[in-house]
Amino acid sequence: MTPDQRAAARNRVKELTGWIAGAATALTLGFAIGAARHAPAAESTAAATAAGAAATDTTEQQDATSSSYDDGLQAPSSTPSASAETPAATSGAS
Amino acid sequence: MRDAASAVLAAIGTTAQVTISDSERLDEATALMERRLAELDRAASRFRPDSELRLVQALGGGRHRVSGLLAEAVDAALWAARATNGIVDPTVGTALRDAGYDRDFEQVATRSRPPRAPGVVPGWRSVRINTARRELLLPAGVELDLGATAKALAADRIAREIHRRFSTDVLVSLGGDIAVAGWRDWDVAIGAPDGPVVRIGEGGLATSSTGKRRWTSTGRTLHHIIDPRTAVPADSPWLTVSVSARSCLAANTASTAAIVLGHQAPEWLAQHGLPARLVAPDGAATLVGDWPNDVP
Repeated sequence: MTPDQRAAARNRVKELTGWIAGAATALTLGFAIGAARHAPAAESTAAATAAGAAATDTTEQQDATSSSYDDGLQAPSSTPSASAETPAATSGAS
Repeated sequence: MRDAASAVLAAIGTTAQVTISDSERLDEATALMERRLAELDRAASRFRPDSELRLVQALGGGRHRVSGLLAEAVDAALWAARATNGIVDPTVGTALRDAGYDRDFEQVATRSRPPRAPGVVPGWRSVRINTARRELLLPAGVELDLGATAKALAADRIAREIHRRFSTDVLVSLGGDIAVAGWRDWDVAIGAPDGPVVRIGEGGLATSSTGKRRWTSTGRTLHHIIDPRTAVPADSPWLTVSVSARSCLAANTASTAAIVLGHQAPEWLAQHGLPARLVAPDGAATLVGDWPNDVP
């Protein structure tokens, strides 16, 4: 490959990289503008607040999206057994 | 109890307990539980006039944008209704208020107001929730009682979060509705500290009772578990029902349904494969599924 060909290839890579970055930015902006257009002002504020809270703690967001009741009214895989140990808690105490 | 540390605090009108294997993380775990319960109270309390639920209901019927936490609490309540074919129904809020349970229970038990004539429970199918859009459709006049299911859901969530954040085995008890997470087994007394003890290793264990949160009004004894078919406290042959299930929410839903279902409850629980212990007012216990015999 000649020096000119290498320079052309480098330019092509730069163009592609720039195009991909630009497209990603445009898409992000598009989503943001679309979301703002579809949400009334108060809701946008609430959504922004919620989004901010979620962003500060992604682990909490994971909790919110994984329902503990997806399994339905099912028995535990290990059923309760009788015990003579001192209990750690009482079910139905209050 | 072996090598574990506990903390107990008063929250959401009941007693909250966290017990963990790693005692060095107890303060952090307790603070986390307290924070999550305060959030739940602000979102879903039926008694706080400034709760999000009360404010949404005050807006009247229609579609309302709600917080993620309230959306999840409503979603869990509607799930419980679907799972029990409406035997556990969150739209009993007005019926509970009519029965006299319209404030924290300590205040209900110490006053005397006659119950109002029962109305009709609107029914859970009249309520819709879209959790992705956090949109609640609530007909005018419908009052939700999210108390039991929201409490159980919170126990599940808090236990999972403590286990994940602090890498410790954990038991969370909210008013006796118990969720566990981690690797170890936990011993739990049923009904009272000196009651029979069972060992559980996962999920949840809940006990519903017509003997707790019980009050007397104009000569009538009332309790907090409403039969949505009659809009009055359930006339149940069971004093307590304890259920072990995959989650605390499922256990609470099943134990509440069993109180309402009455004599049909053992068969219903068996059909769902749920180990359970039902106790009649005379103390006689009926065991369902794999629930173990009491240790003498």
